[in-house]
Amino acid sequence: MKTTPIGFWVKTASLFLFRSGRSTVVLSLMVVAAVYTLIFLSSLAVGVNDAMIRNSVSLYSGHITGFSLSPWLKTDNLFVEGVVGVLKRISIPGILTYEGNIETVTLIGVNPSAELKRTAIWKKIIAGKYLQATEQAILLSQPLAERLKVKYGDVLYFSTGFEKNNLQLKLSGIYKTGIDQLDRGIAFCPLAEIADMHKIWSATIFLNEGVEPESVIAEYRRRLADTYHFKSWKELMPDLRQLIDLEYLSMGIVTVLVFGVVSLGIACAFVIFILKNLREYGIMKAMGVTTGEMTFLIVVEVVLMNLAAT
Amino acid sequence: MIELEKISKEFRSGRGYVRALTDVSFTLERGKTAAVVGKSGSGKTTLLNCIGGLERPEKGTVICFGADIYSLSAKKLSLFQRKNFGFVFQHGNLLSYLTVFENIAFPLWLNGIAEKQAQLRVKELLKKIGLSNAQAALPHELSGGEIQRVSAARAIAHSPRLLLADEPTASLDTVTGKNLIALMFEMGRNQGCTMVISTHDPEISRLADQIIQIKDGRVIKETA
Ligand SMILES: Nc1ncnc2c1ncn2[C@@H]1O[C@H](COP(=O)(O)OP(=O)(O)OP(=O)(O)O)[C@@H](O)[C@H]1O
Ligand SMILES: [Mg+2]
Repeated sequence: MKTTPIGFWVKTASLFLFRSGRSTVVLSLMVVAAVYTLIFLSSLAVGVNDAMIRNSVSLYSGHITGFSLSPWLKTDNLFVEGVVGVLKRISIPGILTYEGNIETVTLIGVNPSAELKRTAIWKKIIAGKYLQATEQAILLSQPLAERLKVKYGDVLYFSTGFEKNNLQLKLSGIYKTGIDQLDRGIAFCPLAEIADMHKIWSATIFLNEGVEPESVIAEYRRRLADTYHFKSWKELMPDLRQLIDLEYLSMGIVTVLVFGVVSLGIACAFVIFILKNLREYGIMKAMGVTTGEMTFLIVVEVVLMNLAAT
Repeated sequence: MIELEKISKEFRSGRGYVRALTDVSFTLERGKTAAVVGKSGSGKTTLLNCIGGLERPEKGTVICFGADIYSLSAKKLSLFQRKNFGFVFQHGNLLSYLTVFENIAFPLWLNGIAEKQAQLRVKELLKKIGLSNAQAALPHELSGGEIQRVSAARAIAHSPRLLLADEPTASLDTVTGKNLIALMFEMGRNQGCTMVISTHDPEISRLADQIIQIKDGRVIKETA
Protein backbone atom coordinates (compact mmCIF):
# COMPACT_ATOMS: atom_id res chain seq x y z
CA MET A 1 0.00 0.00 0.00
CA LYS A 2 1.35 3.39 -0.93
CA THR A 3 0.15 6.95 -0.91
CA THR A 4 -0.03 9.16 -3.95
CA PRO A 5 2.83 11.52 -4.90
CA ILE A 6 2.80 15.15 -3.81
CA GLY A 7 2.84 16.37 -7.42
CA PHE A 8 -0.55 14.80 -8.02
CA TRP A 9 -2.10 16.74 -5.11
CA VAL A 10 -0.50 20.00 -6.16
CA LYS A 11 -1.92 19.47 -9.64
CA THR A 12 -5.35 18.62 -8.26
CA ALA A 13 -5.27 21.66 -5.98
CA SER A 14 -4.41 23.99 -8.84
CA LEU A 15 -7.15 22.49 -11.00
CA PHE A 16 -9.63 23.04 -8.18
CA LEU A 17 -8.54 26.63 -7.77
CA PHE A 18 -8.32 27.39 -11.44
CA ARG A 19 -11.71 25.94 -12.24
CA SER A 20 -13.50 27.46 -9.28
CA GLY A 21 -12.42 30.77 -10.85
CA ARG A 22 -14.44 33.54 -9.34
CA SER A 23 -14.24 32.64 -5.67
CA THR A 24 -10.49 32.08 -6.00
CA VAL A 25 -10.07 35.50 -7.58
CA VAL A 26 -12.21 37.18 -4.93
CA LEU A 27 -10.26 35.52 -2.14
CA SER A 28 -6.94 36.40 -3.73
CA LEU A 29 -8.03 40.00 -4.14
CA MET A 30 -9.04 40.08 -0.50
CA VAL A 31 -5.61 38.92 0.53
CA VAL A 32 -3.98 41.48 -1.77
CA ALA A 33 -6.17 44.30 -0.44
CA ALA A 34 -5.41 43.32 3.13
CA VAL A 35 -1.67 43.16 2.56
CA TYR A 36 -1.65 46.53 0.81
CA THR A 37 -3.74 48.15 3.54
CA LEU A 38 -1.23 47.00 6.09
CA ILE A 39 1.75 48.15 4.05
CA PHE A 40 0.05 51.49 3.45
CA LEU A 41 -0.75 51.95 7.12
CA SER A 42 2.73 51.18 8.31
CA SER A 43 4.38 53.34 5.66
CA LEU A 44 1.97 56.11 6.59
CA ALA A 45 3.06 55.85 10.21
CA VAL A 46 6.72 55.88 9.26
CA GLY A 47 6.16 58.69 6.74
CA VAL A 48 4.30 60.92 9.20
CA ASN A 49 6.99 60.49 11.81
CA ASP A 50 9.79 61.07 9.35
CA ALA A 51 8.11 64.27 8.21
CA MET A 52 7.65 65.38 11.79
CA ILE A 53 11.32 64.78 12.58
CA ARG A 54 12.45 66.43 9.38
CA ASN A 55 10.37 69.55 9.97
CA SER A 56 11.37 69.99 13.58
CA VAL A 57 15.01 69.27 13.01
CA SER A 58 15.42 71.36 9.89
CA LEU A 59 13.79 74.43 11.38
CA TYR A 60 16.78 75.19 13.52
CA SER A 61 18.22 72.57 15.77
CA GLY A 62 19.70 69.93 13.44
CA HIS A 63 19.99 66.24 14.29
CA ILE A 64 22.94 66.63 16.59
CA THR A 65 24.27 69.54 18.60
CA GLY A 66 27.90 69.71 19.69
CA PHE A 67 28.48 71.91 22.75
CA SER A 68 31.52 73.89 23.95
CA LEU A 69 33.73 73.14 21.00
CA SER A 70 37.21 74.57 21.03
CA PRO A 71 38.29 77.12 18.39
CA TRP A 72 40.89 74.64 17.10
CA LEU A 73 38.21 72.24 16.04
CA LYS A 74 37.02 73.06 12.53
CA THR A 75 33.64 72.30 11.01
CA ASP A 76 35.42 70.06 8.53
CA ASN A 77 36.47 67.77 11.40
CA LEU A 78 32.83 66.99 12.03
CA PHE A 79 32.06 65.72 8.55
CA VAL A 80 31.93 61.98 9.06
CA GLU A 81 29.94 59.36 7.22
CA GLY A 82 26.25 60.31 7.12
CA VAL A 83 26.75 64.02 7.86
CA VAL A 84 25.46 66.44 5.22
CA GLY A 85 25.96 69.77 6.95
CA VAL A 86 27.69 71.36 9.91
CA LEU A 87 26.74 74.87 11.05
CA LYS A 88 28.99 76.86 13.32
CA ARG A 89 27.20 78.94 15.95
CA ILE A 90 28.51 81.04 18.83
CA SER A 91 26.21 82.11 21.61
CA ILE A 92 26.79 84.94 24.05
CA PRO A 93 24.40 85.96 26.79
CA GLY A 94 23.95 89.71 27.18
CA ILE A 95 21.63 92.66 27.19
CA LEU A 96 19.86 94.32 24.30
CA THR A 97 18.87 97.95 24.63
CA TYR A 98 16.79 100.24 22.51
CA GLU A 99 15.78 103.71 23.67
CA GLY A 100 15.77 102.76 27.32
CA ASN A 101 14.10 99.38 26.84
CA ILE A 102 16.24 96.55 28.09
CA GLU A 103 15.95 92.81 27.51
CA THR A 104 18.28 89.99 28.42
CA VAL A 105 19.05 87.81 25.48
CA THR A 106 21.32 85.12 24.15
CA LEU A 107 22.81 86.45 20.97
CA ILE A 108 23.71 83.73 18.53
CA GLY A 109 26.26 84.35 15.83
CA VAL A 110 25.48 82.38 12.71
CA ASN A 111 26.85 81.99 9.22
CA PRO A 112 23.92 83.43 7.21
CA SER A 113 24.50 81.69 3.89
CA ALA A 114 25.06 78.29 5.55
CA GLU A 115 21.99 78.78 7.75
CA LEU A 116 19.90 79.65 4.72
CA LYS A 117 20.92 76.42 3.10
CA ARG A 118 20.11 74.11 6.02
CA THR A 119 17.62 75.73 8.36
CA ALA A 120 14.18 77.22 7.84
CA ILE A 121 14.08 80.16 10.23
CA TRP A 122 14.08 82.46 7.18
CA LYS A 123 10.70 81.06 6.25
CA LYS A 124 9.37 82.32 9.54
CA ILE A 125 10.29 85.96 8.96
CA ILE A 126 7.26 88.20 9.29
CA ALA A 127 8.95 91.58 8.77
CA GLY A 128 12.17 92.59 7.05
CA LYS A 129 14.62 89.98 5.77
CA TYR A 130 17.17 87.42 6.91
CA LEU A 131 20.73 88.36 7.88
CA GLN A 132 23.50 88.95 5.41
CA ALA A 133 27.11 88.11 6.21
CA THR A 134 28.43 91.60 5.55
CA GLU A 135 25.83 93.54 7.52
CA GLN A 136 26.05 94.55 11.17
CA ALA A 137 22.53 93.37 11.65
CA ILE A 138 20.31 91.51 14.10
CA LEU A 139 17.35 89.18 13.67
CA LEU A 140 14.80 89.28 16.51
CA SER A 141 11.86 87.18 17.44
CA GLN A 142 8.53 88.94 17.40
CA PRO A 143 7.89 88.87 21.17
CA LEU A 144 11.34 90.30 21.81
CA ALA A 145 10.90 93.00 19.18
CA GLU A 146 7.56 93.92 20.70
CA ARG A 147 8.95 94.29 24.20
CA LEU A 148 11.87 96.38 22.93
CA LYS A 149 9.46 98.36 20.76
CA VAL A 150 11.76 98.18 17.75
CA LYS A 151 10.84 98.02 14.11
CA TYR A 152 12.65 97.16 10.93
CA GLY A 153 15.63 99.43 10.37
CA ASP A 154 16.09 100.58 13.99
CA VAL A 155 19.53 100.26 15.59
CA LEU A 156 19.97 98.33 18.85
CA TYR A 157 22.87 97.89 21.22
CA PHE A 158 24.13 94.62 22.58
CA SER A 159 26.42 94.35 25.55
CA THR A 160 27.72 91.43 27.54
CA GLY A 161 27.96 93.53 30.65
CA PHE A 162 31.72 93.10 31.01
CA GLU A 163 32.93 95.12 28.08
CA LYS A 164 32.47 98.83 27.75
CA ASN A 165 32.07 98.99 24.00
CA ASN A 166 28.63 98.05 22.85
CA LEU A 167 27.89 96.18 19.67
CA GLN A 168 25.76 98.25 17.37
CA LEU A 169 23.29 96.23 15.34
CA LYS A 170 20.61 97.23 12.87
CA LEU A 171 17.34 95.29 12.96
CA SER A 172 17.18 93.42 9.68
CA GLY A 173 14.17 91.24 10.35
CA ILE A 174 11.63 89.85 12.78
CA TYR A 175 10.65 86.18 12.89
CA LYS A 176 8.04 84.12 14.63
CA THR A 177 8.23 80.31 14.86
CA GLY A 178 5.52 79.59 17.40
CA ILE A 179 8.02 77.48 19.33
CA ASP A 180 8.74 78.82 22.78
CA GLN A 181 12.44 78.03 22.95
CA LEU A 182 13.05 79.85 19.69
CA ASP A 183 10.73 82.81 20.24
CA ARG A 184 11.92 83.74 23.70
CA GLY A 185 15.21 85.16 24.70
CA ILE A 186 17.34 84.60 21.61
CA ALA A 187 18.46 86.77 18.74
CA PHE A 188 20.70 86.20 15.76
CA CYS A 189 23.53 88.15 14.16
CA PRO A 190 26.24 87.31 11.63
CA LEU A 191 29.06 85.27 13.10
CA ALA A 192 31.68 87.83 12.14
CA GLU A 193 30.22 90.39 14.59
CA ILE A 194 30.87 88.36 17.70
CA ALA A 195 33.64 85.99 16.60
CA ASP A 196 36.18 88.06 18.51
CA MET A 197 34.19 88.20 21.72
CA HIS A 198 33.85 84.50 22.30
CA LYS A 199 35.81 81.64 20.79
CA ILE A 200 33.99 78.61 22.11
CA TRP A 201 31.44 77.48 19.54
CA SER A 202 28.70 74.97 19.09
CA ALA A 203 27.97 72.87 16.06
CA THR A 204 24.60 72.10 14.57
CA ILE A 205 24.90 68.94 12.55
CA PHE A 206 22.56 67.68 9.85
CA LEU A 207 22.44 64.06 8.79
CA ASN A 208 21.40 62.14 5.75
CA GLU A 209 17.92 60.64 5.82
CA GLY A 210 17.83 57.43 7.78
CA VAL A 211 21.16 57.92 9.56
CA GLU A 212 20.90 57.30 13.28
CA PRO A 213 22.32 60.23 15.26
CA GLU A 214 23.62 57.86 17.93
CA SER A 215 25.95 56.17 15.47
CA VAL A 216 27.39 59.52 14.36
CA ILE A 217 27.85 60.60 17.98
CA ALA A 218 29.64 57.34 18.66
CA GLU A 219 31.92 58.07 15.73
CA TYR A 220 32.72 61.53 17.17
CA ARG A 221 33.55 59.96 20.51
CA ARG A 222 36.00 57.71 18.76
CA ARG A 223 37.63 60.49 16.79
CA LEU A 224 37.56 63.55 19.04
CA ALA A 225 38.51 64.37 22.58
CA ASP A 226 35.82 63.23 24.98
CA THR A 227 35.58 66.66 26.57
CA TYR A 228 33.12 67.55 23.86
CA HIS A 229 29.44 66.93 24.39
CA PHE A 230 27.22 65.86 21.54
CA LYS A 231 23.53 65.41 21.96
CA SER A 232 20.96 64.13 19.53
CA TRP A 233 17.60 65.72 18.87
CA LYS A 234 16.06 62.94 20.89
CA GLU A 235 17.76 64.24 24.02
CA LEU A 236 17.34 67.90 23.19
CA MET A 237 13.71 67.68 22.15
CA PRO A 238 12.15 65.13 24.50
CA ASP A 239 8.68 66.48 23.68
CA LEU A 240 9.09 65.63 20.03
CA ARG A 241 10.47 62.29 20.93
CA GLN A 242 7.52 61.54 23.15
CA LEU A 243 5.14 62.67 20.46
CA ILE A 244 6.76 60.35 17.95
CA ASP A 245 6.75 57.45 20.36
CA LEU A 246 3.08 58.10 20.99
CA GLU A 247 2.45 58.28 17.29
CA TYR A 248 4.20 54.96 16.76
CA LEU A 249 2.24 53.44 19.59
CA SER A 250 -1.13 54.59 18.30
CA MET A 251 -0.25 53.58 14.77
CA GLY A 252 0.88 50.25 16.12
CA ILE A 253 -2.43 49.75 17.88
CA VAL A 254 -4.35 50.69 14.75
CA THR A 255 -2.21 48.36 12.68
CA VAL A 256 -2.73 45.49 15.10
CA LEU A 257 -6.48 46.11 15.09
CA VAL A 258 -6.64 46.29 11.33
CA PHE A 259 -4.44 43.24 11.08
CA GLY A 260 -6.71 41.36 13.47
CA VAL A 261 -9.87 42.27 11.61
CA VAL A 262 -8.32 41.58 8.26
CA SER A 263 -6.88 38.22 9.19
CA LEU A 264 -10.16 37.24 10.80
CA GLY A 265 -11.88 38.15 7.54
CA ILE A 266 -9.42 36.15 5.51
CA ALA A 267 -9.71 33.20 7.85
CA CYS A 268 -13.51 33.32 7.48
CA ALA A 269 -13.18 33.51 3.73
CA PHE A 270 -10.97 30.43 3.75
CA VAL A 271 -13.38 28.57 5.97
CA ILE A 272 -16.23 29.45 3.62
CA PHE A 273 -14.10 28.38 0.69
CA ILE A 274 -13.42 25.03 2.33
CA LEU A 275 -17.04 24.54 3.44
CA LYS A 276 -18.22 25.33 -0.06
CA ASN A 277 -16.09 22.47 -1.30
CA LEU A 278 -17.10 20.09 1.47
CA ARG A 279 -19.06 17.98 -1.02
CA GLU A 280 -15.93 17.54 -3.10
CA TYR A 281 -13.96 16.41 -0.09
CA GLY A 282 -16.76 13.98 0.75
CA ILE A 283 -16.62 12.41 -2.69
CA MET A 284 -12.86 12.12 -2.47
CA LYS A 285 -13.15 10.57 0.98
CA ALA A 286 -15.44 7.91 -0.47
CA MET A 287 -12.85 7.22 -3.15
CA GLY A 288 -10.34 6.49 -0.43
CA VAL A 289 -8.41 9.72 -0.06
CA THR A 290 -6.78 9.73 3.37
CA THR A 291 -7.26 12.53 5.88
CA GLY A 292 -3.59 13.41 5.54
CA GLU A 293 -3.85 13.75 1.79
CA MET A 294 -6.99 15.83 2.14
CA THR A 295 -5.31 18.14 4.61
CA PHE A 296 -2.35 18.46 2.30
CA LEU A 297 -4.68 19.25 -0.60
CA ILE A 298 -6.42 22.02 1.36
CA VAL A 299 -3.12 23.46 2.58
CA VAL A 300 -1.78 23.49 -0.99
CA GLU A 301 -4.95 25.24 -2.14
CA VAL A 302 -4.61 27.93 0.50
CA VAL A 303 -0.90 28.37 -0.18
CA LEU A 304 -1.42 28.56 -3.93
CA MET A 305 -4.14 31.11 -3.44
CA ASN A 306 -1.85 33.26 -1.36
CA LEU A 307 0.90 32.88 -3.93
CA ALA A 308 -1.53 33.93 -6.65
CA ALA A 309 -2.42 36.95 -4.54
CA THR A 310 1.18 38.12 -4.16
CA MET B 1 -16.78 -12.41 -0.38
CA ILE B 2 -18.72 -9.83 1.61
CA GLU B 3 -19.87 -10.82 5.05
CA LEU B 4 -22.09 -8.69 7.26
CA GLU B 5 -22.50 -9.91 10.79
CA LYS B 6 -25.34 -8.35 12.80
CA ILE B 7 -24.62 -4.74 12.06
CA SER B 8 -26.64 -2.02 13.73
CA LYS B 9 -26.51 1.68 13.06
CA GLU B 10 -28.16 4.45 15.02
CA PHE B 11 -28.38 8.16 14.25
CA ARG B 12 -28.89 10.91 16.73
CA SER B 13 -30.95 13.58 15.06
CA GLY B 14 -33.66 16.19 15.63
CA ARG B 15 -36.13 13.34 16.02
CA GLY B 16 -34.04 11.75 18.76
CA TYR B 17 -32.43 8.37 18.14
CA VAL B 18 -33.20 6.81 14.81
CA ARG B 19 -32.36 3.16 14.31
CA ALA B 20 -31.39 3.04 10.68
CA LEU B 21 -30.17 -0.58 10.73
CA THR B 22 -30.88 -3.39 13.17
CA ASP B 23 -28.95 -6.66 13.19
CA VAL B 24 -28.41 -6.83 9.47
CA SER B 25 -26.55 -9.95 8.35
CA PHE B 26 -25.93 -11.43 4.95
CA THR B 27 -23.16 -12.81 2.81
CA LEU B 28 -22.49 -12.21 -0.82
CA GLU B 29 -20.28 -14.49 -2.84
CA ARG B 30 -17.43 -13.07 -4.79
CA GLY B 31 -18.45 -11.93 -8.29
CA LYS B 32 -22.15 -12.02 -7.47
CA THR B 33 -24.64 -9.18 -7.52
CA ALA B 34 -26.98 -8.21 -4.71
CA ALA B 35 -29.92 -5.83 -4.97
CA VAL B 36 -30.98 -4.04 -1.81
CA VAL B 37 -34.64 -3.10 -2.04
CA GLY B 38 -36.90 -1.26 0.34
CA LYS B 39 -39.00 1.83 0.76
CA SER B 40 -37.62 5.28 1.20
CA GLY B 41 -36.12 5.63 4.63
CA SER B 42 -35.77 1.89 5.10
CA GLY B 43 -31.99 2.13 5.47
CA LYS B 44 -30.60 1.30 2.02
CA THR B 45 -28.14 4.16 1.85
CA THR B 46 -27.01 3.52 5.39
CA LEU B 47 -26.43 -0.14 4.61
CA LEU B 48 -24.33 0.60 1.53
CA ASN B 49 -22.34 3.22 3.41
CA CYS B 50 -21.65 0.69 6.16
CA ILE B 51 -20.43 -1.88 3.65
CA GLY B 52 -18.26 0.70 1.88
CA GLY B 53 -16.53 1.93 5.01
CA LEU B 54 -18.21 5.33 5.01
CA GLU B 55 -20.35 4.87 8.09
CA ARG B 56 -19.15 2.89 11.06
CA PRO B 57 -21.89 0.72 12.58
CA GLU B 58 -22.15 0.68 16.36
CA LYS B 59 -22.41 -3.08 16.41
CA GLY B 60 -21.44 -5.96 14.16
CA THR B 61 -18.65 -6.53 11.70
CA VAL B 62 -18.23 -5.97 8.00
CA ILE B 63 -15.73 -8.29 6.36
CA CYS B 64 -14.80 -7.51 2.78
CA PHE B 65 -12.55 -10.02 1.02
CA GLY B 66 -11.23 -11.22 4.33
CA ALA B 67 -10.62 -7.80 5.86
CA ASP B 68 -12.58 -6.63 8.88
CA ILE B 69 -12.72 -3.09 7.51
CA TYR B 70 -13.69 -1.27 10.71
CA SER B 71 -10.79 -2.75 12.59
CA LEU B 72 -8.42 -1.01 10.19
CA SER B 73 -6.88 2.35 11.05
CA ALA B 74 -8.41 5.37 9.29
CA LYS B 75 -5.50 5.57 6.89
CA LYS B 76 -5.46 1.85 6.16
CA LEU B 77 -9.21 1.95 5.57
CA SER B 78 -8.82 4.80 3.07
CA LEU B 79 -6.11 2.93 1.23
CA PHE B 80 -8.27 -0.21 1.25
CA GLN B 81 -11.23 1.75 -0.14
CA ARG B 82 -9.32 3.37 -2.97
CA LYS B 83 -8.05 0.04 -4.17
CA ASN B 84 -11.03 -2.22 -3.64
CA PHE B 85 -14.19 -0.12 -3.75
CA GLY B 86 -16.06 1.82 -6.40
CA PHE B 87 -19.01 4.04 -5.50
CA VAL B 88 -21.94 5.32 -7.51
CA PHE B 89 -24.19 7.60 -5.49
CA GLN B 90 -27.75 8.63 -6.00
CA HIS B 91 -26.67 12.09 -7.11
CA GLY B 92 -23.85 14.56 -6.76
CA ASN B 93 -21.25 12.08 -7.80
CA LEU B 94 -18.57 13.89 -9.74
CA LEU B 95 -15.85 16.27 -8.64
CA SER B 96 -17.11 19.59 -10.01
CA TYR B 97 -13.72 21.04 -10.82
CA LEU B 98 -12.45 18.09 -12.79
CA THR B 99 -13.38 17.27 -16.38
CA VAL B 100 -15.10 14.05 -17.39
CA PHE B 101 -11.72 12.65 -18.32
CA GLU B 102 -10.09 13.70 -15.05
CA ASN B 103 -13.01 12.38 -13.00
CA ILE B 104 -12.68 8.93 -14.53
CA ALA B 105 -8.90 9.06 -14.26
CA PHE B 106 -8.95 10.15 -10.62
CA PRO B 107 -9.14 6.67 -9.04
CA LEU B 108 -6.44 5.52 -11.46
CA TRP B 109 -4.14 8.39 -10.49
CA LEU B 110 -4.99 7.78 -6.86
CA ASN B 111 -3.90 4.18 -7.25
CA GLY B 112 -0.65 5.25 -8.85
CA ILE B 113 -1.34 3.74 -12.24
CA ALA B 114 1.08 4.89 -14.94
CA GLU B 115 -0.15 7.84 -16.96
CA LYS B 116 -0.10 6.06 -20.33
CA GLN B 117 -2.02 3.11 -19.02
CA ALA B 118 -4.48 5.40 -17.25
CA GLN B 119 -5.13 7.33 -20.47
CA LEU B 120 -5.81 4.15 -22.39
CA ARG B 121 -8.17 2.92 -19.71
CA VAL B 122 -10.12 6.22 -19.57
CA LYS B 123 -10.38 6.31 -23.38
CA GLU B 124 -11.73 2.76 -23.39
CA LEU B 125 -14.32 3.59 -20.73
CA LEU B 126 -15.35 6.81 -22.45
CA LYS B 127 -16.02 4.82 -25.58
CA LYS B 128 -18.06 2.29 -23.65
CA ILE B 129 -20.27 4.93 -22.07
CA GLY B 130 -20.52 6.77 -25.39
CA LEU B 131 -19.03 10.04 -24.16
CA SER B 132 -15.72 10.15 -26.02
CA ASN B 133 -16.58 13.57 -27.38
CA ALA B 134 -17.34 14.98 -23.91
CA GLN B 135 -14.06 14.12 -22.23
CA ALA B 136 -13.10 17.77 -21.73
CA ALA B 137 -16.51 18.79 -20.38
CA LEU B 138 -17.03 19.79 -16.76
CA PRO B 139 -19.80 18.04 -14.79
CA HIS B 140 -22.13 21.05 -14.86
CA GLU B 141 -22.18 20.81 -18.64
CA LEU B 142 -23.60 17.28 -18.54
CA SER B 143 -27.13 15.90 -18.29
CA GLY B 144 -28.18 13.75 -15.33
CA GLY B 145 -27.90 10.56 -17.35
CA GLU B 146 -24.48 11.49 -18.63
CA ILE B 147 -23.31 12.28 -15.10
CA GLN B 148 -24.43 8.84 -13.90
CA ARG B 149 -22.70 7.14 -16.82
CA VAL B 150 -19.47 8.97 -16.01
CA SER B 151 -19.93 8.01 -12.34
CA ALA B 152 -20.33 4.38 -13.28
CA ALA B 153 -17.21 4.53 -15.43
CA ARG B 154 -15.29 6.19 -12.62
CA ALA B 155 -16.51 3.66 -10.07
CA ILE B 156 -15.28 0.82 -12.22
CA ALA B 157 -12.14 2.43 -13.70
CA HIS B 158 -9.60 1.01 -11.28
CA SER B 159 -11.20 -2.47 -11.49
CA PRO B 160 -12.38 -2.54 -7.87
CA ARG B 161 -13.38 -5.81 -6.30
CA LEU B 162 -16.62 -4.32 -4.97
CA LEU B 163 -18.95 -1.92 -6.74
CA LEU B 164 -21.48 -0.14 -4.54
CA ALA B 165 -24.30 1.71 -6.30
CA ASP B 166 -26.87 3.57 -4.24
CA GLU B 167 -30.00 4.05 -6.35
CA PRO B 168 -27.93 4.98 -9.36
CA THR B 169 -31.02 5.40 -11.54
CA ALA B 170 -33.18 7.35 -9.10
CA SER B 171 -32.76 10.65 -10.87
CA LEU B 172 -33.10 9.23 -14.38
CA ASP B 173 -36.04 8.36 -16.61
CA THR B 174 -36.85 4.67 -17.12
CA VAL B 175 -35.10 4.16 -20.42
CA THR B 176 -31.95 6.00 -19.44
CA GLY B 177 -31.98 4.19 -16.11
CA LYS B 178 -32.29 0.81 -17.77
CA ASN B 179 -29.43 1.58 -20.13
CA LEU B 180 -27.25 2.66 -17.23
CA ILE B 181 -28.01 -0.51 -15.29
CA ALA B 182 -27.31 -2.65 -18.33
CA LEU B 183 -24.01 -0.83 -18.75
CA MET B 184 -23.07 -1.29 -15.11
CA PHE B 185 -23.91 -4.96 -15.09
CA GLU B 186 -21.95 -5.47 -18.25
CA MET B 187 -18.90 -3.60 -17.05
CA GLY B 188 -19.07 -5.11 -13.58
CA ARG B 189 -19.60 -8.68 -14.63
CA ASN B 190 -16.92 -8.48 -17.29
CA GLN B 191 -14.43 -7.71 -14.57
CA GLY B 192 -15.73 -10.22 -12.06
CA CYS B 193 -16.80 -7.40 -9.83
CA THR B 194 -18.92 -8.08 -6.77
CA MET B 195 -21.81 -5.62 -6.81
CA VAL B 196 -24.32 -4.24 -4.33
CA ILE B 197 -27.01 -2.04 -5.84
CA SER B 198 -29.86 -0.43 -3.96
CA THR B 199 -33.02 0.31 -5.85
CA HIS B 200 -36.80 0.72 -5.78
CA ASP B 201 -37.14 -0.83 -9.21
CA PRO B 202 -38.21 -4.53 -9.35
CA GLU B 203 -36.96 -4.73 -12.93
CA ILE B 204 -33.48 -3.95 -11.77
CA SER B 205 -33.56 -6.25 -8.79
CA ARG B 206 -34.60 -9.06 -11.07
CA LEU B 207 -31.20 -8.88 -12.76
CA ALA B 208 -29.41 -9.50 -9.48
CA ASP B 209 -28.23 -12.86 -8.16
CA GLN B 210 -29.55 -12.10 -4.74
CA ILE B 211 -32.24 -9.75 -3.42
CA ILE B 212 -32.09 -8.32 0.07
CA GLN B 213 -35.31 -6.70 1.09
CA ILE B 214 -35.20 -4.38 4.07
CA LYS B 215 -37.85 -2.60 6.04
CA ASP B 216 -37.24 -0.21 8.92
CA GLY B 217 -33.63 -1.24 9.00
CA ARG B 218 -34.18 -4.98 9.21
CA VAL B 219 -33.73 -7.63 6.56
CA ILE B 220 -37.21 -9.04 6.02
CA LYS B 221 -36.49 -11.27 3.10
CA GLU B 222 -33.43 -12.61 1.38
CA THR B 223 -33.83 -14.44 -1.92
CA ALA B 224 -31.09 -16.01 -3.88
N1 LIG C 1 -26.94 11.39 8.85
C1 LIG C 1 -28.12 11.05 9.38
N2 LIG C 1 -28.54 11.64 10.52
C2 LIG C 1 -29.72 11.29 11.08
N3 LIG C 1 -30.54 10.39 10.58
C3 LIG C 1 -30.20 9.75 9.45
C4 LIG C 1 -28.97 10.07 8.77
N4 LIG C 1 -28.87 9.32 7.67
C5 LIG C 1 -30.00 8.57 7.66
N5 LIG C 1 -30.78 8.83 8.70
C6 LIG C 1 -32.05 8.15 9.01
O1 LIG C 1 -31.87 6.78 8.90
C7 LIG C 1 -32.98 6.18 8.27
C8 LIG C 1 -32.52 5.44 7.03
O2 LIG C 1 -32.05 6.35 6.08
P1 LIG C 1 -31.46 5.94 4.66
O3 LIG C 1 -30.93 7.16 4.03
O4 LIG C 1 -30.52 4.83 4.87
O5 LIG C 1 -32.76 5.44 3.91
P2 LIG C 1 -32.90 5.00 2.37
O6 LIG C 1 -33.47 3.65 2.38
O7 LIG C 1 -31.61 5.20 1.69
O8 LIG C 1 -33.95 6.04 1.84
P3 LIG C 1 -34.08 6.65 0.33
O9 LIG C 1 -34.67 5.55 -0.48
O10 LIG C 1 -35.03 7.75 0.54
O11 LIG C 1 -32.75 7.04 -0.07
C9 LIG C 1 -33.96 7.30 7.96
O12 LIG C 1 -34.96 7.32 8.93
C10 LIG C 1 -33.13 8.53 8.04
O13 LIG C 1 -33.91 9.60 8.48
MG1 LIG D 1 -30.93 6.44 0.04
